[in-house]
Amino acid sequence: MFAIYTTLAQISAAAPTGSPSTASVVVVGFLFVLIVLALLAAVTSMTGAFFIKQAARDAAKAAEAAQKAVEANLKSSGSADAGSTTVAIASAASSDDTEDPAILAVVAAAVHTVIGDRPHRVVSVQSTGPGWAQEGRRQIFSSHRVR
Amino acid sequence: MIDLLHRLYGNTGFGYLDWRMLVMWAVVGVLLYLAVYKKFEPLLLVPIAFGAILANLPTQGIINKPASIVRSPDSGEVIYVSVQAGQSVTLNAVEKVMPQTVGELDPDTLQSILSGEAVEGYGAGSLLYILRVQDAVASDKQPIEIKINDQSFRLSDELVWAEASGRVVSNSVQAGDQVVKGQAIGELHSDHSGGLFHYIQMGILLEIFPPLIFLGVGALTDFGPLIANPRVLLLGAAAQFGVFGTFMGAQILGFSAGASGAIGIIGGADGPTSIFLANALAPELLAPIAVAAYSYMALVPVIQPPIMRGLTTVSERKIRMKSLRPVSRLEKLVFGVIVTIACILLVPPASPLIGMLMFGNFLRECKVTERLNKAAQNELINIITIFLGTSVGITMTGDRFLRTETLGILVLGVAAFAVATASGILMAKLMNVFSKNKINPLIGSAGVSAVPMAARVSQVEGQKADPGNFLLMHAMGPNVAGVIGTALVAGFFLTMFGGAH
Repeated sequence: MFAIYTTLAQISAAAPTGSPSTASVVVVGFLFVLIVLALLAAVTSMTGAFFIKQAARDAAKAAEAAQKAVEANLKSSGSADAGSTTVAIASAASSDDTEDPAILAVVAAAVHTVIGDRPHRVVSVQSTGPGWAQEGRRQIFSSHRVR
Repeated sequence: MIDLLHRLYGNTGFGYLDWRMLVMWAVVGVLLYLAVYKKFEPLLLVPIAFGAILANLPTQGIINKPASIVRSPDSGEVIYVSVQAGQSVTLNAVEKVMPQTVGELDPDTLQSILSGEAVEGYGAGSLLYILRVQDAVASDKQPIEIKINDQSFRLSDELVWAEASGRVVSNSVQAGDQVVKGQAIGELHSDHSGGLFHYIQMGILLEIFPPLIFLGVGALTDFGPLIANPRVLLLGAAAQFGVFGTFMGAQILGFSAGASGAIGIIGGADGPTSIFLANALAPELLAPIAVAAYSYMALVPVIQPPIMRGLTTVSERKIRMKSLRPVSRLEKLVFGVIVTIACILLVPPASPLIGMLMFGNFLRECKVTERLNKAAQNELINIITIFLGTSVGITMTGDRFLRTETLGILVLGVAAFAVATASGILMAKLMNVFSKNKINPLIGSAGVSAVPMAARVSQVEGQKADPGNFLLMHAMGPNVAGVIGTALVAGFFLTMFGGAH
């Protein structure tokens, strides 16, 4: 990188008296862009690795909390009425979506619609990632005729 | 009666029509056909084409400049002064590219102009000064001279024309005076202000529009796919070889270094960057470069697929890539700040582009400036697109556009696209040699930054080989990497060849 900067400085210094040769501009310019973007890729990978570890730690903590909440709920509501739908755990995932009570209500209602009056309990709601965003993109993409 | 009709005809614009205008009408027809019926980049081609119609009509009050101070275009000696206070200057109704040196003008025409005659196409009293430029004096070993009215002129002597009609109110130099570039040497005044597009074009000349477009592009861009798979930054870098390859081609064809850089950047498939660089390094080539850049961006779905199929095997086109991990908001914000700081520190001339791109993206990702984000994504970028497109179109006068060098630029532009596409694909294949986690080489072509068209082409070509393969989000990574790469290359050329900065 330093060598490229040195060459760059030499070319710039040469500019007022005589233009740099085409070949040197092409080689130095292309290598410069390649190296800068490669460094950017390396830095992004490193920050990415940090964030992945962080996310894994958060997920482990959330799972642990969920497990504890399930156990606590099972103890306290062992005599729950058959046929009722109860959302027991809402904090299993860290995603904003799953913390929204409205979404939990919708999930519980959907489960009730499918299972009916059989006794059941929603113990965990977890986001499966950016599925909705992907589905949206897929729909937008497929709604256009691509030339 | 006949006299009245004759005067009426004289006041119409028919007398100003010439063959170049008619040819440009045909060019405009093609652009409008591509935009309206083929839907090739209509948001850009329609404003450009309509601006080009206005440029090739004898309009009034649209593109004329206001009368103002006349500044010396170079440093040197004033060898001829034709202005006197109170003298009237009348320019041609249709804008014409005036010859810059004595050598570009026919001696008889020069003699007529110097004698004070109104020569068709040159207006009346529009030649104000003739300069002997210092650099030209140093390089002219055996200068060729022509004699007019007992005064000798060299072919390299520079002509200073009035840029607007008006009345000369002051002249501050005499023959024999030394002047420096940019020095005020006279002043014209007129009761009429400049035309609408004179002021709108300031957005290009002052390099305001391209960075504002980048602000909108940043607000519209999701860097998530790039952050989730950062190695595709190399595909964006590889595609920049098209820019440098074309730079080399332009040099071989005899363009200056600055003009070659401005032509080469067409290969980056980034309209605002092309305009930004052309304005700084080769303003006289702005029209053909902008038209080539936007036309070829529109033709990405036509130019790229044959190259993509030619350089890949069916099995390579069927490669399914691993799903991208979700990227958190904080990670996107950190990425934006890192890119801003790193790119501006490395290539300061690219700061208007990179700075505004990442600012727009920060507005999008921080989630607390939703109103500003929406304004950048919609109102701002739409308004600037109208102004930018028409301003580019208005520079497409037949006089300026119908030249052999325009043809050269169009050929070099398509070569730039082809080389950039091929470079991205070949880089993806090279990365596959060393990597276990294979990349579908089709996403390499998205390294040219025509966002999101190039990524859509990768998706379409991928689905032709394997209908269940979704490459769109994978291709968005190299696509946005190409935007950053092209801005870096523009900064590199500005560092090398200076321009107006």
